[in-house]
Amino acid sequence: MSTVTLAFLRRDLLIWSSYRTSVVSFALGAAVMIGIVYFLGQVVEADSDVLDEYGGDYVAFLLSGFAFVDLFNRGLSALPGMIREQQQNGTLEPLLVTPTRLVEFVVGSSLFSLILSSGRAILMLLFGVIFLGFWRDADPVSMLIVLIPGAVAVFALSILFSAVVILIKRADPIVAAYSLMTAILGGLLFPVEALPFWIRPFSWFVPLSHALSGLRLGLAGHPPSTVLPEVVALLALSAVLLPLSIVSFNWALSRAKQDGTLVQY
Amino acid sequence: MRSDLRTNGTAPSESAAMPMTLPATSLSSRPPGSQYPIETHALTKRFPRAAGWRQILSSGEGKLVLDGIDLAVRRGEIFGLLGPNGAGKTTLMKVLSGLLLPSGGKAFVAGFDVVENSLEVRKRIGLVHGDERTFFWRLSVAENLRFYATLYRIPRREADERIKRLLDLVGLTAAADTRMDRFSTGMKQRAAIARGLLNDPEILLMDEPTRTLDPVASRDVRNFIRKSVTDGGRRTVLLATNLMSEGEQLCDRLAMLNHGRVCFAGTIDEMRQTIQVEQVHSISVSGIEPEKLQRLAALPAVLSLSVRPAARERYEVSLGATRDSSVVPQVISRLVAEGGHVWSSKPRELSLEELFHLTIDSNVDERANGSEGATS
Repeated sequence: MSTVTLAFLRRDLLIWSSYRTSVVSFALGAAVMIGIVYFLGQVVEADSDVLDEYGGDYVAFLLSGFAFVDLFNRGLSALPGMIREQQQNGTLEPLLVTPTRLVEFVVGSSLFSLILSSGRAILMLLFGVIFLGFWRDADPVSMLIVLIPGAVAVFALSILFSAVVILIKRADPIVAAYSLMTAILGGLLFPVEALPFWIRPFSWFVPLSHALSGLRLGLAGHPPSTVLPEVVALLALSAVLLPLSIVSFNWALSRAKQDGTLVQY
Repeated sequence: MRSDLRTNGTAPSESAAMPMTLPATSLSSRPPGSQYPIETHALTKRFPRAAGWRQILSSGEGKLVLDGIDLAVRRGEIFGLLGPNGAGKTTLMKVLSGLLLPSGGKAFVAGFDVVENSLEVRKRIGLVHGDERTFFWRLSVAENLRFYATLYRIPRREADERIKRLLDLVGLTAAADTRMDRFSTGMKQRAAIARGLLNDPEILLMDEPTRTLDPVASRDVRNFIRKSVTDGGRRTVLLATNLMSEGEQLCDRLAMLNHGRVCFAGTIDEMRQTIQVEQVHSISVSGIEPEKLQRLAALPAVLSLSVRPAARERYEVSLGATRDSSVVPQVISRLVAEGGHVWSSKPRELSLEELFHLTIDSNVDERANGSEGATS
């Protein structure tokens, strides 16, 4: 990791820690999410046949879903959110005058938020392991080989949404709508296999559905060979999304520089 | 002086414009280490008229904000960009710093094309904004500067020393660890200057650095710029301001911008020659209506005239004329003949503000007459 990226990380950590309630709200967020998941798991009667592949327990299914969806959604909104915030507070322009490279700016701007969400996801998963006895046989290799291309695909989408922020300033509704749609199509509350037949093809184009499915399989202890189709799907989506997002971002930046709207808010 | 001052409508002399004019050759291959730290050639910038989604899709003609700017700023000088709001000063600054892409023409900073070599340009410039909202307010000024020092790839130890020195230079040592949301506007502006100097830039772009400051803080910042920013002529400063007094106090040379065009470029002395108003007389008069005073402008030798109410029911008439003209005795005779009482008449130098208005008026006259204008 470059010193420039670390400088962004340090800056965001300092700003985050300057709010007295940051740690409390962070822990509270995780606790509330665990509470909701546990409540839902208890009141909803799930079809165990559909869940067999993922370990058979609906609370475990929900807990892993919420943990990863939170992480992916945060990954999706971190960069556009940071760009929007910096447009509004006037700090974007001085940053763009420095010789910071685009990749450093993009990675640096989203890193802290991602680390924070990863921390929350890990807390939730650890809660499941320690207090609820889930995922004792998890396969970390399977999870890792899903997580890496999944992160790349989400990162690409994040850059794509940042391009929208640069162009039209307000991408929050689009990101929110996309997050909600992918949460349903991606299998947050129920497996994709349980979706109506005609909707399933749409979920093939949603990176979250493959990432979530692969990660849950890894948690359930399935070997890497089982998650391979999900890895291939994520790699294919990343291969399309990454160049598309970089081209879009550069085009948006150039367009904003032509139009003089780069720091408008 | 008001804008009812007028000139004889002539364009600025070639000699005044010459120092700024460059041959338009080999523009795209100008090597680093060029003679001028900042050069622009027929630089234009046009903004789209549409907004929102329509703006993204539109490709039609928009508002012309920079209109064929040719400038050459010499090494080590403080060069002023003066002009009213909307003249194009900030747009020019943004083009030079790579925040905006030009619509036409070329711009070179430190010998690098601002479009093709933006990264090289950004390594060599500092930008001081007039807007105070450019810092992370929940961090201290030292933390802010440390963050920016890393973006400029300054090694940690060197950065710490430089930050210490700069904070001392701008008088913020005692507040180094204070969060910036507790800073006054003046302190934030001084912090902005420190940030602009952080990478020890060859070229410092200052966009209305005293815009948000009160008169005392403005004076302090101006003193600081004059004394410390050029670093003994090693650093070139491009200063945009709409305060004529600031331009007069700080700038070695300047360019007057109006409606995106350079009306004049050169020294203040050159501007005085260009305007051809060689002397201004302030005449204090009473017992005569202002309308009658305005009619003095019709006298052939009067090059400019403004009338301003003064204390004790008097009016102050500012009269621009050539040095050898006998216009002042003529005017005084006429005032007395019309029943006026002349209290005093004294010659004085034209202020930069008066020169500015004369230059702008001259430029407007030329445009109205279909002339090519006074772009130098």
